[in-house]
Amino acid sequence: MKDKIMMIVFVLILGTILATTLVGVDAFTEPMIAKNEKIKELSTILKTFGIEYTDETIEKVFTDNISTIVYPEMTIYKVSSGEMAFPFEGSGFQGPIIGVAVMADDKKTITAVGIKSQVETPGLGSRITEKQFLDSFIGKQFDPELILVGAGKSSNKTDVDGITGATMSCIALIKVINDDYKIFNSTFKGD
Amino acid sequence: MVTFTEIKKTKSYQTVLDGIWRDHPISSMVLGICSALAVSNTVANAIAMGAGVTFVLLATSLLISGLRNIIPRRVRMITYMIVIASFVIVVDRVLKAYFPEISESIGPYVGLIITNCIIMGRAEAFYSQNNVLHSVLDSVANGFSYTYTLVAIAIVREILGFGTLLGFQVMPDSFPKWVVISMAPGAFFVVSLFIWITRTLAKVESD
Repeated sequence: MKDKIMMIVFVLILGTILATTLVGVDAFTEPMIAKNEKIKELSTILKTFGIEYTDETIEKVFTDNISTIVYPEMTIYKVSSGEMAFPFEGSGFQGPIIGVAVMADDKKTITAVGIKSQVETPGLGSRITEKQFLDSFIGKQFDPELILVGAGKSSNKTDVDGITGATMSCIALIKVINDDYKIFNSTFKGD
Repeated sequence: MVTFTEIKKTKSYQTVLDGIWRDHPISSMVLGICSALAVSNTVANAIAMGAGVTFVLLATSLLISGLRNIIPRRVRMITYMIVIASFVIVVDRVLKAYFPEISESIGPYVGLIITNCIIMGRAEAFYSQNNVLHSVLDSVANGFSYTYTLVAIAIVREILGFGTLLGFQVMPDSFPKWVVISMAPGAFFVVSLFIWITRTLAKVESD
């Protein structure tokens, strides 16, 4: 009987100490974590559009330069030059890949691709975030979609060169971009 | 006046010496190797990971040694687990709030501090049997050894693998980067060299 009471007392003490700590830390860090998330999201879009910013001015720069259009299917970002960006999100080889693609006026040609977050294998799949690879998307066209080919084999505007060693992640990324491009394209069919 | 010879005999001194040299967690006990291999690719990651582990060790030592007389023996393991897990969540949240870039680059390994055998091992072997003062000394000593080892390994790996130190370029542009050193296999080479050197210096006899 004494054992059981001791056990209950112990669980109560430990539970109180740990719960207080966790609730306190959570309340303290929550606003900063939310702010970091927001900066991360805005900075991905600004970087992909190629707009300069600093962490302090980021929200102002964003609202000054980019208009956000919310459709039921998708949120689209537009700059005054007519370029538009659509966000993409989907399963990579290891976990979600989230990013944004900027389209030229014709809604067919890519002018930039940026990746916000990914959890691909470090050193292999994670190479999809390398500038050299992302830059290879510039000028590619959805006709009607992008096609992944082996490294150095692209022969026309729909072909994207893969990365040796990151094949699975490249396949996943192209699929995610193609899928969300379809939504982007159909969103504008009515306009 | 207390002489150094007398200090040497105190339990506090012995505890600290055990922690930072004689029972070095990585080279002598070969604990915590998994994270030592994973996050020692850059110095910034190593410092963040070392600080995280040290904090969790310190908090765990305080709580476990403070409660050691009322922790029922039957549930002691699960108690350590819960305590460690809670403090790891604290570290994770603080990193996310104040150091988002580091948090992203060491990402899942912060959560894996829970399974770091150094903390579990010290909790079972030391904090559950010693008073708060000695436990805290032990945790600081062990955390310090873990950190300096990680940083030492990371200095070698960052210079050879990226040509930088804490993000600053230290090698000439013509320096060919040893990519393999910044990946997992490179960690094995450097960690084993470290263990070889320190064990030779400490004259540890193999069993």
